[in-house]
Amino acid sequence: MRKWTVLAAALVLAACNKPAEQPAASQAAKPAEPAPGSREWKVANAMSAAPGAVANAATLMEWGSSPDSAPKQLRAGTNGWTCFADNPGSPGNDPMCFDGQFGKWATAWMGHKPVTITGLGVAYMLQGGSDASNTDPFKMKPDSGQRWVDSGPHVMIVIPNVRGLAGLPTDATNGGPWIMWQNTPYAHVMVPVAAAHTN
Amino acid sequence: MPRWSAAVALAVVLAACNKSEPAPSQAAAPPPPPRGSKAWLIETAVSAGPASITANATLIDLHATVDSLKTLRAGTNGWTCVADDTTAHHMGPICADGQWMKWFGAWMGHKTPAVTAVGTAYMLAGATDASNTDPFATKPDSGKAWIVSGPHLMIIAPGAHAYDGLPHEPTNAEPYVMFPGTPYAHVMAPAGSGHAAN
Repeated sequence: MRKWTVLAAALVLAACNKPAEQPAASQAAKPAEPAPGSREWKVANAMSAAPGAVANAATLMEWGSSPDSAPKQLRAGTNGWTCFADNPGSPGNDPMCFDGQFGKWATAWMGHKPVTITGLGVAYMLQGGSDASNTDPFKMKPDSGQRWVDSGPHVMIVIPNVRGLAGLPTDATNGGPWIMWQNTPYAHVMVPVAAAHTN
Repeated sequence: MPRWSAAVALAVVLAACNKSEPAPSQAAAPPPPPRGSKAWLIETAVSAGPASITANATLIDLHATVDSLKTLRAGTNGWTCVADDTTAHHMGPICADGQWMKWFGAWMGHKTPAVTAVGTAYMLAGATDASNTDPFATKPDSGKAWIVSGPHLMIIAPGAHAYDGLPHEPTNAEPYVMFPGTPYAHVMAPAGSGHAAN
């Protein structure tokens, strides 16, 4: 019986050690985690892209089941922000939340149209995301031998006149903000926001 | 009795791991350095930005009375992290890029900042401001509270209409404009965790 006690304690310890090592595992420790792919999961996933105060009142969307089908609304919002759940068609977990200007910007980009935003736009991808290219806005997958540009948690900034981004760093691995798609109409700032370390 | 001991052992283990989860590092860490000491200043400066930036940033103490003490540590990546101050309503530490350092220089000298490109600054340890409308207020107007912000980014962009359409109220929720309509207008973008969904 004593051995059982030790074993039970070891199991419990093992179970509670894991979350400390892997931040992502903290989700697994929550009691009623919705099944992946369920509506509840998509809602929680979409909301995980931004600070709670932004996501709480945002319109929540999911991508269509195929690249050609229209996105569907999961929940209406009130603050002008829109959050999309993870895009199953792209690698990794990449939910995002964006404001009205950024939404207009993204629509122009996806339609290969000129950007006509009138103010600064903000988007959050606090779970990170991946892009096929840091230089070509329309690349659907990396060139052979090239890797996806994997970004950790970040904020994206778009401005009406991309000349305001001239001369800023373009290296996605420099540790700080960089310009993605520099020298194109779709240039924007990627701002890493991983937590500060406290030594 | 065996059941009893098993239950106690489990409870103790569970309590131990529950306790350590919220702040595991703090419990084990040595006592914090004295407020205002060089070690404290460095610790606050480094807490302002992501480690990928602070690791190679220049750390400075703006309030050092002797110039030679202003630089706490030289850096190499073009970023400057400014240590917190020791006042009651301390502004909070900040990591700033070149555009933002120019902006700070202009602000402190009451001059108009020449913003020539988008600039980014981090205040991941939060901030306290006297006013959202008066760049030079040293304390809130009577009856008003200090504006306390959680972790956030600050963005400046060139152009007179750079921030048109963004909210002006410091709700601590959505990105908004601080000092709107002044040469010191900038965007405050909350950068807290995305997990506090409820």
